[in-house]
Amino acid sequence: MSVASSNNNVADPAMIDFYLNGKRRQCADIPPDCSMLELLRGPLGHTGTKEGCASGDCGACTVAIGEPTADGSLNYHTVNACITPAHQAQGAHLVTVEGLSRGDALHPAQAAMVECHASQCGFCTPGIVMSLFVLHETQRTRPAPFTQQRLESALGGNLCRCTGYRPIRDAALQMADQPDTHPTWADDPSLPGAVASLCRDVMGRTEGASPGHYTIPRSLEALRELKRERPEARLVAGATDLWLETTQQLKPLDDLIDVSRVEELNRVEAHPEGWWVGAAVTYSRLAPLLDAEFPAFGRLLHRFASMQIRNRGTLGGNVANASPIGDCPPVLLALDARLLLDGPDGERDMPIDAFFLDYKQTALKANEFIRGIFLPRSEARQLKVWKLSKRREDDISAVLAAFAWRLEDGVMRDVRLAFGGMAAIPLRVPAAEAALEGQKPDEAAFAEAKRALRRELSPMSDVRGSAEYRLVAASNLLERLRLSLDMIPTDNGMEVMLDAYAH
Amino acid sequence: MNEMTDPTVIGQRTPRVDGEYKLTGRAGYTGELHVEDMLYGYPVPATIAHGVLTSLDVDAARGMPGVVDILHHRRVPKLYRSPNSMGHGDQVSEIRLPFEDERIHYHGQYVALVVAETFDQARAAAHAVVARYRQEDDARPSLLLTDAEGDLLEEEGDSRGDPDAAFERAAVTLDETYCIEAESHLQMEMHATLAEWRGKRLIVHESTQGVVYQRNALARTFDLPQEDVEVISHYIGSGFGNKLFMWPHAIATAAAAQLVGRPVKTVLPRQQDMLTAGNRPASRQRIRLGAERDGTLTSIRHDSTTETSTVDRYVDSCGGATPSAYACDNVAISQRILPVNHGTPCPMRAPGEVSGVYALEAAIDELAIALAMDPVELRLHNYAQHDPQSGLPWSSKQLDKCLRSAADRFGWSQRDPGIGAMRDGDEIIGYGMASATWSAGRQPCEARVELRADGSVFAACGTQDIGTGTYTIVAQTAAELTGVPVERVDVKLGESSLPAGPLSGGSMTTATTLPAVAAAVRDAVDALKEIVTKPEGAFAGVDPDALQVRDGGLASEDKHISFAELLAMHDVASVNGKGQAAPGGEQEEYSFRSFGAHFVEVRWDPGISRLRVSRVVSSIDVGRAINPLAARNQVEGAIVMGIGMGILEKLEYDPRDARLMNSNASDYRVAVHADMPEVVDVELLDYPDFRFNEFGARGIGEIGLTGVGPAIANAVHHATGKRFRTLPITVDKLVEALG
Ligand SMILES: Cc1cc2nc3c(=O)[nH]c(=O)nc-3n(C[C@H](O)[C@H](O)[C@H](O)COP(=O)(O)OP(=O)(O)OC[C@H]3O[C@@H](n4cnc5c(N)ncnc54)[C@H](O)[C@@H]3O)c2cc1C
Ligand code: FES
Ligand code: FES
Repeated sequence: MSVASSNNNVADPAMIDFYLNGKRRQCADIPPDCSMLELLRGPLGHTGTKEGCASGDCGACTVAIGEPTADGSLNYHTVNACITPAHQAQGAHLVTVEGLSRGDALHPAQAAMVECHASQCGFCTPGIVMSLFVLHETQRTRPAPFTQQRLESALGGNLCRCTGYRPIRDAALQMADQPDTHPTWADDPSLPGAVASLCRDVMGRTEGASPGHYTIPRSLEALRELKRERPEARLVAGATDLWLETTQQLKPLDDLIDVSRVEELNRVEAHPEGWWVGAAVTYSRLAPLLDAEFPAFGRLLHRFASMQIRNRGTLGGNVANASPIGDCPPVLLALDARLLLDGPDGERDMPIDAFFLDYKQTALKANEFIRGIFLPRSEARQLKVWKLSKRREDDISAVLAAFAWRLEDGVMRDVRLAFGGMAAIPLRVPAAEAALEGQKPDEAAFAEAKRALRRELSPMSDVRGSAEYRLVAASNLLERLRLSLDMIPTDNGMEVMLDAYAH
Repeated sequence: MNEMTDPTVIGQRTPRVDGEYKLTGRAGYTGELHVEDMLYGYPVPATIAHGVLTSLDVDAARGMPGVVDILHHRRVPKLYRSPNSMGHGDQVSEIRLPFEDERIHYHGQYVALVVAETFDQARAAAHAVVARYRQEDDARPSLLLTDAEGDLLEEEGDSRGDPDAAFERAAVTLDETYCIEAESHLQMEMHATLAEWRGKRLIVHESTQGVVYQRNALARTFDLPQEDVEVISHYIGSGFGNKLFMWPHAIATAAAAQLVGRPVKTVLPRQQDMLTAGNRPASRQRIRLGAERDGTLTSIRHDSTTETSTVDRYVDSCGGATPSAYACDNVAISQRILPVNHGTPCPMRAPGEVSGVYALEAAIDELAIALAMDPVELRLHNYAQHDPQSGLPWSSKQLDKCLRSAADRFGWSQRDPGIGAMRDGDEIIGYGMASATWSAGRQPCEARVELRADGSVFAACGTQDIGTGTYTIVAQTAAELTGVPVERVDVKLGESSLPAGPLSGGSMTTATTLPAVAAAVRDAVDALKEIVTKPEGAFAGVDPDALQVRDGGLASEDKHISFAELLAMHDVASVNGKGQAAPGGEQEEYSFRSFGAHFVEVRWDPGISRLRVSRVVSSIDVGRAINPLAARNQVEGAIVMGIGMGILEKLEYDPRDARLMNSNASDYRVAVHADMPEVVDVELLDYPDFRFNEFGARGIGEIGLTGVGPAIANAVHHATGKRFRTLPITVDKLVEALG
C-alpha cells in the first residue's frame, strides 16, 4: 500500500482516490478487503479513529462521509469505518476526528464534550464526536428540535463504558451554545464541486477492474456483465453483514463487486400498485417512504441496528443475506412483497415466499443479483411489526413478528403471520393464518392460531433466547395483536401502528 | 493547612486537563504507537476449552507473505513465572506463562503468536496456523451449571459471636441463595502491548492500570534487573480492573520481540480480549439471616463461592463488606473458589464486594417483606454506629443521611408496597432500594514536583490515569498548593521510572497519590524558601516559616514575588521537591469505609415483559470530592454499568464444552444510550474525612456500582411479585417466569 497526495490521474483500480479532511488523497494498492479503519490507522497514519470491536457494534470507529448532492453541497452521514470497505471512500469526502478543529479552536461538538465532561477514558470519544458532528451538520442544513428520539438515534450506535451517557447527551444539547467554529476545510467553497467532479472521474476508472480487485460498476448493464465474467465474485452493498466475514472470521474477501453505486439499484419508483425499491437503497434513504406509507415498518427501522448501520445497510443486503433473524424479511413476507432478480441470463420476478429455501440458502443463482424489491400498496391492509430484542437500540432480534390483515365486515381477511427467529428461515405460518382467516378476531380464533404456532414451529435456543422463550414470546405477540384489535375502532381502515420492543 | 480545609481549586468543578487531546484524536493510546522497524503480533487462540494440543502446523503460515516468526510451546525464549506477590508488587493476572505446555485450560488460550511485517499479514497467517486438539469431555463451563462446592479458603473466612445458635433461636429467618453470571469488563480499549528491546533493556508500552507492577513482573519473567525494564502508559481507554496486572499477551509480545530482535506490537482483537484478559467470575452466595420480630438482626451468615480458572487461584471475596454492614452480634462469612474452564477471572470494578452487597441487600429486602417492615426502616433499625467487626469508630459515616436524602428526593414515601400496585398506563412501576459501600484504602506513594523558571509547575508520579481524571486532580493539587493556575501545571504519569506510584484500582489512587504530590510541592517550596532567604536572596533575612505561598509566588508582608521571578533572580532553572506519603497510625484508631444509597424505579410492561430502569436517585458519601465534575460522573457511569449487571450483562459459556459463545460486543450486551434512565440524580455528600488524609478524600471509582444490582432486583420484585435471585434479570427470564 502506498499513499500520495498528488493529483495524478492513473487509472489504477486498486487506487483509492478521495478527500480526507479537505485534502485530496490517493492510496495505491489497497487490497479489496481493507476496511476504511485499517486504511486510516495504517497507511494514512490517522490514528484518532479508534477500534473497539471491528464488528459495527461500538461506534468507536465512527467517521463521517460527505457525498455530493444535487444542489452542489456535501451531505454527511456517519459510518462504522471498521466494517466499511476502504474502497467505498472512492470519490467521497471523509471526515475524521482529526479534521474538525480549526487550529486550536475546537469544533462545537468537541468544545461541548469538553465542557460537559463527556469524555473520561476518551476511547469512545472520537466516534462520539463524529456522531455529534453529523448531528450538528444536519442541524445546520435542516434544523429541527433535539427530541429524545432524535438524540437516541444519533448516539445509539456509540457505546461508552465510562460516562453513563448523560454528559454526552448534555454535550449534544449544548453544541448550539458553543461558538460556531468551522473546520478549516469548510472555508473552501470549491470543495463540494471538487468532490463531485472527482466522484465522476473516479467511477469511470474502477468499472473495468479484473478479478482480485474491488470493482464498482455504475450501471445495471455493467453489473450484469461483471456477473457474467466473475460469477463467483462476492457482491457487496453496505457491507454491514459481509465485512464481518473478514473482521470476525478472518476470511479473505479478494474478489468483490460493489453494487452500491449502480444507478438502477438506487432508485425508489412509485407505481399505482406499489413501490419498487432498488436493492442498494440504504435504510436511511428508504425511511421517508416507509414512514409515509408503511409506518409500522418505518418504526421498525428505529429499532434496527444503529444510525451508522442504517446509513450503509440495504434492504437488498438484508434479503440476500437470508439470516433467520434478519428484521426485514418477515415484514416483506407479511406485505406480500416481490423480488426482481437479475443477471446475465435475464431477469425474473418472484414472490418473496419462494426466495428463502433453507438456512442461508436462497433461490438466487450464482450469477444473479437482487435488483429490486416491490412493496405492494393496499389501503385496507393493516400491519403490525414487533421486534423483541434484549436491548432497545443496536440489537439483533430474538423474535420478530410481522402481522398483516384486513378487516372486512368484522372478520379478518388476507391474514399473513410472519416470523423471524423462529426457524432456520424467516417464514409465514399458514396453519395459524388459516385459523384466523375469515374469523372474527376473538379469543377462540386466536387460541387456535396460538395452538397452530406451537404445533408448527420449533425454534432454536441460542444466546438471543431459548426455544421456550421464543415460543412463549411469539404466542404472546399474537395475543397482543388480539388485544390491540379489541381496543381500537376496527372499521376505519386506518393502519394502526403499535410498536414495541423489549430488552 | 488551611488550603485543605478551605480550598479554592480542590473541590471545584474542573474540566479535564487532557480533554482536548482526547477530543481531537491526539491522545496516543498504546495501539496507535509506532516505532521504527516495528512488527505486528497476532495471537492464535485455542478453539477448545479443555484438552490437549495434539499438533500445531505452522509451516504454511510461516511461508506466508511478511511473516517473520511464529512463537509456540516449542519455540519460545526462556521465561520465568513471576513470584506473583501483591506485597512485592509483582502480581500478575495469570500465573501460567504463555506457551508453557500443550495443555489447553480455556477457550482462547494462546497456542501461538504470529509475528509479521503488517497487521493484515499477521492476521492472515494466524488464520492459516493449523492446530489440532484432543478435547476432553469433562470441561466445567460455569459455577452456575454445577453443584460442585469448590475449595474452602480458611484465610478468607471471618466470624463473631455464634451465628448458628442465633439463627436457630431467631423468630424470623431467611435462607436463600443468590447468583450472578460472569461478566466482561468490555472496557473500550482492548489490551495492547508494544515491546522493544534496546540491548538488554526492555521497554514496554502497555495499556495498564499499573506501570510499576508490570515493570516488576516483567523483570522477574525475563530475569532482568528492575532498572532494565521500563513500562509506559500515557493514555488508557479504561480498564475497570482487567488492566491491573500483566496478562500473558504482554509476555508473549516481549518474548517475540526478544526472539526476532525487532519491536513487536500486539493489540488483542475484541474476541480474544474477552476470552483471555479477565472477567468478573460468576458467584453463588448463600445468605442466612435471623431477626427478631421488631427487625433486630441477630444472625448473618454469608457463604460465597466464586469461579477461578484451572491455571490460577483468583479469589473474588464477596463477603468483605458483610461483617461491617449491620449492627448484629453474630456474623460469619466464608469463601470458596471453584476452578472452571475460563480464562482467569480478575478484579472488575468493586470486585467481590459488589457481588456480596447484591446478595446481602437483596436478602435484607426479602427480610423486610417477611417482617412487613419498610426496607429503609429495617436498615436504619440495624444501623452500625461504629464498625462492629473491628470495634473501632468510623472515621466518618453518613449512611443515614444518604438513605434519608435519597429517599426524599426519590419520593419513597409515596410507594405503595403492594406487589404491582403502582401503574402507569400499560406499565407496572416497581420501587427498590439498597445501600452501597466500598472500603477506603490507601497505599504508600512517592512523587516529584518542580517549580520551573518559566512559571510552570511540573508534577510526576508513577501511577496512571485510566480515564478517571488523575492527571486533572494532580494538577489541581499542585495548583492549590502553589497558586499557579491549573493550566500551568504539567503532569507526568504512566511511566515506571517515575517515583513509584500506586495501581489505578481499589478506588485508592486519589487518596494515595495526592498526599505524596502535596508533600513534594511543599518540599519544592521549602527548597525555594531556603534559596530566597539566604543573605543575597530576594527575601534575605526573612524567616522561611514566615514566608507564605500565594498566587504562584512567595509573599512576606506586602511583598509578593512570583516563583518565576524568584528563580530568575537567583539563576535557578527549577527547584525540585520529593514527596512521600503512606497510611499511618490512623488505621489503628478508625475504620474507613464509604457508604451510599441507591433508589431505583423500574417499569415493566407485562404484555411483552419489557423491563426498563427509568429512574435512579443516589446519595453517596466519599468524604470530599476533589473534582466534583469527575466524581459525579464516576457514579453516573457506575450506575449505568450497574444497570448492565442488573438486567443485561452475562458471559455465556456453552454448557457442553465451556466455550464462550458471546465474545463480541453484539451478543454481550452492555447498556447503550437508550438504556440510560430518564432520571439519574446523584448527590455527593460533602463531609471531608480528614482522619483519612489531609485532603479528606476517600475514593469514588467503585462505590457507585455497589447496590445498583440489588436495588433493581428489589424493584423488579415490587413490580412483578417474582423474586429473581440470579442476575441479570433478562427479558427471557421474565417471560419464562411470568408468561
Ligand atoms: C452492528 C450491526 C447491527 C445490525 N443490526 C441488525 C438488525 O437490527 N436487524 C437486521 O436485520 N440486521 C442487522 N444487521 C445486519 C445488516 O446490517 C443487515 O442485514 C443489512 O441489511 C445488510 O445490508 P448490506 O447492504 O450491508 O449488506 P452486505 O453486507 O453488503 O451484503 C450482505 C449479503 O448480501 C449480498 N448482497 C448484497 N447486495 C446484494 C444484491 N443486490 N443482490 C444479491 N446479493 C446481495 C452480499 O453478497 C452478502 O452476502 C446488523 C449488522 C451490524 C453490523
Ligand atoms: S470498531 Fe466498534 S463499531 Fe467499529
Ligand atoms: S469515555 Fe471511556 S468509553 Fe466513553
